[in-house]
Amino acid sequence: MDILNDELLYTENLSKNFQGITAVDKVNFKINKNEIRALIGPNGAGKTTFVSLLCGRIRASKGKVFFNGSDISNLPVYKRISSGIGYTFQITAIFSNLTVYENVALSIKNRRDKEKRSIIFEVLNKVGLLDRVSQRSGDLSYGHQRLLELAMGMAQRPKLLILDEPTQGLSDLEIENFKKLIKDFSKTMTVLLIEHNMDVVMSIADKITVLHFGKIISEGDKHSIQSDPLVQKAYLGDQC
Amino acid sequence: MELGPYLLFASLEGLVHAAVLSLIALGLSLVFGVMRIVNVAHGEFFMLGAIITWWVSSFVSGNPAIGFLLALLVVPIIVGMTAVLSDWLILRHLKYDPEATIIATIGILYIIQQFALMTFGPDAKPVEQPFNIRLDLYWFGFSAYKFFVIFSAIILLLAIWLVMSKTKFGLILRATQLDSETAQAFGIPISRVYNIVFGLGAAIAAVGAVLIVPIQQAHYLMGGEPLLLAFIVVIIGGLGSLKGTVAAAILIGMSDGIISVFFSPNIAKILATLLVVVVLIIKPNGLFGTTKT
Amino acid sequence: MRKDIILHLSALLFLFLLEILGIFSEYHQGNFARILVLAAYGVGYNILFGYTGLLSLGHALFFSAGLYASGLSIYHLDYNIEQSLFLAICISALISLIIGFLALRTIGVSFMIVTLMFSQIAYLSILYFGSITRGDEGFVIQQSSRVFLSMDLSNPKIRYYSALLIFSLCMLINLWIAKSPFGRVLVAIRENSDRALMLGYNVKLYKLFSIIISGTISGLAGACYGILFGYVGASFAAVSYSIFPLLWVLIGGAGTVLGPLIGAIFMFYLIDYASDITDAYMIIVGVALLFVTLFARRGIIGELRFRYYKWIS
Repeated sequence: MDILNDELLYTENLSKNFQGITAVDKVNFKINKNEIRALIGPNGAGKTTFVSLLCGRIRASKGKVFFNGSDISNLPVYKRISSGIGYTFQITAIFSNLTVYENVALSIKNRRDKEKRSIIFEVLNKVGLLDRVSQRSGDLSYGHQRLLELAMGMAQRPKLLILDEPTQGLSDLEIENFKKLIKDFSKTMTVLLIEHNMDVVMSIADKITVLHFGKIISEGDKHSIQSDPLVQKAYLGDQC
Repeated sequence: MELGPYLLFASLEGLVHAAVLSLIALGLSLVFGVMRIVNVAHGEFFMLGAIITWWVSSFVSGNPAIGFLLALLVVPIIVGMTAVLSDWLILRHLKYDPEATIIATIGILYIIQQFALMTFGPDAKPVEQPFNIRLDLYWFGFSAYKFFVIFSAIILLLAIWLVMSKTKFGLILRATQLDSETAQAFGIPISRVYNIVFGLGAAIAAVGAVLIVPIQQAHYLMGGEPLLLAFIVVIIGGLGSLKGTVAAAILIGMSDGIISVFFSPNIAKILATLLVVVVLIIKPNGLFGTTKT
Repeated sequence: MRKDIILHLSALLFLFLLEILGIFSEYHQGNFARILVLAAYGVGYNILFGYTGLLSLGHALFFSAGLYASGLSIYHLDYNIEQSLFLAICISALISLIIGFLALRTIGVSFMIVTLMFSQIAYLSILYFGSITRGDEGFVIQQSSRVFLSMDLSNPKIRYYSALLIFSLCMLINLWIAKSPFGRVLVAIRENSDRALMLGYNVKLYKLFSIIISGTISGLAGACYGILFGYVGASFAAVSYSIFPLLWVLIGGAGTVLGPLIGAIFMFYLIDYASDITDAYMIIVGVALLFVTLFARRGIIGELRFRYYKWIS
């Protein structure tokens, strides 16, 4: 299994300041191929900022990002995405006036029509939206819209798929379905998951990274995270 | 006249321009800052102020100063109420969607302009200066009224600054500007605030109109040019930044005035646009702007 | 898909039949020639506003760039029609590139302000360089210069067919874009530009292309307007000519291929009929703008598409 263990993405002292406030503080982060990694932390820990730095939505104040062996720190967003990073938004961000089919089609680039169509049908089949293929995506239920987002992420065929709180607002049943899908993804891609739902995190993540005040305070499998006093303090301190 | 005094003369003219432009641009910027909308009809509110000033002064006989003072009192209120009404009737129903609001204010622009044409007529009409004193500045004489315009604008700008920074009303405006949802959660009646601010923005422009009419004459098409200059000002100063707006207004107003005296008003505007081009390339959010708009 | 193409082709056929069967009176024939060229301008506007979602308040700049490039080159340099049209296309493409580059450094409302500003400056420049442009008064392109492939373009019949040809060309380009993957990306940018970016599209470049296509079509329409109707004047560069295409597109339906035509016909005849009652055309424009923003955001074709015919492009 050693061959699977080489790193896909890592950062060096990645930092971001917003007008004097340090949102991400010298983070050295590493994620291996075909891993499911959960990124957790109390509200305002800098999780979304951190992944935004990875895919370039926000420019880093300092530090570097390496992806698939090359330095992508100075690449614009669209080039990072094209090099194999997929990102789904925390809030639902689909093209609501376009059909389900068109939404997924937009996430596939540089492929011939036939190939494109087969990918679209494949991913829609996987997430269970095939019967809604020509529906206007804005008319879908909330749960289905989130599934559509997931399908768009899959269709990009990224090496790394970043999911920002994918289960937020879903029912228990839908969450179970989600967990299965993400497990399934990890066969072909690496998943970085920002998640609040600890049940989801504990049941599917191979490894967990805990972010607090912009710093990594703990990293490891679920047992070591659950027993880490620093993590408990960060979460309990947040509740006080 | 030699170059030195001529330059002084041009600078004084420039200051008058700058004073009135500051008021107009400040009104535009205030509305944008608080409500996040661009009022394309802003120049027409200015024009409306000018023609109402002419009406008021033509009703009052005798000393022109009486008509002027009356106009200074009444015109901003009438223009402000017109703006409040158009906000209440139209903009509020658009939920202040930036695009729809711009389109609607263009509609308002056309309606006000046509209204002015039909009631006021197509000709420019002069308003007598409230006092006719020429100050002898050694090389040339300069109207004391123009100094009064500069002076009044400064007073008004200071007053607005005081209101914004020291009063509860100013605090409400700043809170709304920062985060309207949170402000609403704290019990600030957002729709009333918007209503008032939209009226206020127009009223400030109207004061500028009352001040300038005795120098410039009233005309139903006079709203276009100040709107263009105000747009240039807010892009250079940073849309929504009141400090930036005033600074840029002084810069643009002065240079507009000076270049207009030496060359031509059109060249002044073309040069001002080149400055905007430079600003856009170097600092797209404006020289004083920090927020992305 | 096929239904859609048939609909648009039959619209063009209908416009052709109106003329060839002699249904038009001379008056309406002249009006429709004007409307068709203006609708081509609206099509250009719609590509930027309706498809890409960028609201420009300065398209008169592009329209008049084409108008003056062709008009001045015929007037001063004795260019023939082909040469002047070629020049107009090049100039308006170049100006769109420059304006696009500058205006896209801003987003949101600043974009609208900046486009309005540049277009006003172009207008003032036309007035300032009056010795070349003849300023407000404008100039007439002589009938003898308005000959293309030995056809007299001032002949009403030929003029109508030429206008229809120009409109058809622009409309078919629009239809092709709407159906192409490029057009899908433009719509995606309109719907949610952040998401489009995160799908790996170079959003700025797409927007720039959209401005260039839009500006060039507008410029072509401007050039044809000058050539077909023989007059070039500063009023075509004024704010109103930036607002008209916006209004046509809004009334007809933003992001629909036929919208600009429907909107242009509607507004033209509304003002035309109203002029019997009042000469206050600005009130009509103003009220129409308010009406569409308050009550009819989708426009005529947009509403039809939303309610009944989802397949219309």
